Amino acid sequence: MMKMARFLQSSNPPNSSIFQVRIEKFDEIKEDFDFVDNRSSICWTCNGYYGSSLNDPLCSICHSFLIPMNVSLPQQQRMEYDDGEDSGNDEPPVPTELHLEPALNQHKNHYHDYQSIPRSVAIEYYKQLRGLTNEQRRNREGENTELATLIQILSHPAEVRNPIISDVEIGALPVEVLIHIFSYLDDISLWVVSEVSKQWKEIVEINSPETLWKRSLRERWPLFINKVEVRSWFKLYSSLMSSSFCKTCLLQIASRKPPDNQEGAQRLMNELKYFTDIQSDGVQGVPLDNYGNWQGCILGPPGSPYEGGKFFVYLYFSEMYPFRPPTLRFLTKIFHPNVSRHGDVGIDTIQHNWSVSLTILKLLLSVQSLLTDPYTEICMEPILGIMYEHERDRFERIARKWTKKYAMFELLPPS
Amino acid sequence: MPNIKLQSSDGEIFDTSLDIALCSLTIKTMIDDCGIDEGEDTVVPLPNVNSTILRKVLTWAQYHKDDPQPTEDDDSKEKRTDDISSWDADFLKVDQGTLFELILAANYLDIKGLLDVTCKTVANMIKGKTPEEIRKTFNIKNDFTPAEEEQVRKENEWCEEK
Repeated sequence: MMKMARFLQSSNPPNSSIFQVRIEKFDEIKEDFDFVDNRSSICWTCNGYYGSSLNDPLCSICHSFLIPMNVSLPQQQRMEYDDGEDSGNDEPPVPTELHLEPALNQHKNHYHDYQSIPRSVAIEYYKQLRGLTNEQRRNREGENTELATLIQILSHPAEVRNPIISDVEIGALPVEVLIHIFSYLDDISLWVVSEVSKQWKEIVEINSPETLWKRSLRERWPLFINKVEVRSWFKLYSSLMSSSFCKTCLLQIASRKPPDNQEGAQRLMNELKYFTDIQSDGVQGVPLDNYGNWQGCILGPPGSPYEGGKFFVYLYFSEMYPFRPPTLRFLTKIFHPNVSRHGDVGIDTIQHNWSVSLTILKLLLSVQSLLTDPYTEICMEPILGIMYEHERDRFERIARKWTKKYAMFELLPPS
Repeated sequence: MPNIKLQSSDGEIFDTSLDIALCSLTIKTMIDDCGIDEGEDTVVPLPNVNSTILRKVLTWAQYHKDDPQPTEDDDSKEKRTDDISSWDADFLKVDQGTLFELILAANYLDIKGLLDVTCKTVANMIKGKTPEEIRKTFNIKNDFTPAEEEQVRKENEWCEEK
């Protein structure tokens, strides 16, 4: 039996209305299922405290805190000196003046990790810090400003927006100017623009070439292989974007910073070879760039309600890989008790039970087996767990419907 | 360089050096084609630009008057929006309404450099936002009716469960 980990969000039951629905009320829910009603903009975790979530599962504040982009996790201390003869009780050797600076540099990115710095190094560090001016001290600790900013933002509720002084609005701009503005946007922003209003959708549809959408789709979803002729690449692109759990995450993927980690990069390249060496049916993974962003896909296992669907997942390998698990998140919407409405997967191997010996392939295969066998004792979405246990038929009907709706564009592109 | 007088929509006269005014291709065309005399007393009426905006436009043109003539856009090259100079960025720290009025003025006066930099600024306001955030930012009404959204959804549901 697979052990599942409860993830941060699910450990804190949100009081959004959906969780007040009790089992006996299931009949009242219409056959399809949506976590949020379309007009709802209450954030799943803060319940609106930090402002509107704007139809995404999380509001931007909660998103940046719970799913941080570039904040480094504390790193495990790596021993630098030779401790071959160390009995284990000895103090680490006192670094000489020469070695001090590199040792400090090594630690300075990892604020949380002061405790694991050898004590003698730490003492020197604090001595130096005391000697610094406030300005210099700030610069030294500047690496944590991002986290500090996040905390700063979190300690204040949503502010009221400034009133607009001049009454000229964007609607006053003629179409040719809008086209000019849109010409500066990349494919994702351009697609987002097409979702804003009817006029903007028309401008984008008429003025953007199909080749742009085809090229961008190949770049964004390298594992997408159209099995039939595609009539409108724009619509297909649009459908794939719409079939994703979280728009904020999609927008962020393109702006990740490169991790500085040769060792991990080498291991990743080896693993990539593994994918091609072992023709593993059902799972695939390719790097999107050189910065640790990967895309994977998982085919719905035969016999499960996910059969026939191709589910795209996003993988991010931080600089700590393989000592820390990669981030794994479903991009394609999937109706499953162990996948949250944000796409996060509740599986122990990417949480506390990660082991260096696990590979991307094994990880994706274990997620795939989770599709066949949901683990309902601890769920990312308890309501789906209950449905799975008590109303299996209904669960499978909806899961199948979602699969068709969001995960089968390869065979059935939108016309 | 001789001077030229520009009249804004609200009647204010701006006595401007000709080389600054010629940043605007519209004014240049007026002078070339319509034979407006370059004499001291000529007043060029600009009925589409008010004095507040015209003053800003002239400030911008004054600063950029020695810039090389912008070349035609090369479509094959990816357009950047992160190359706004710090002076321009400071200059464009204005409320949205003023920014749009500047765009309209740059468009009307045909000042490519100013149009480019203002449009880039708006593009930067769009980038990285979700549709709903953009609507909020620019106060745009969501005119997709629920029925149309349903229609869009139906388009994707070629295999509706019976």
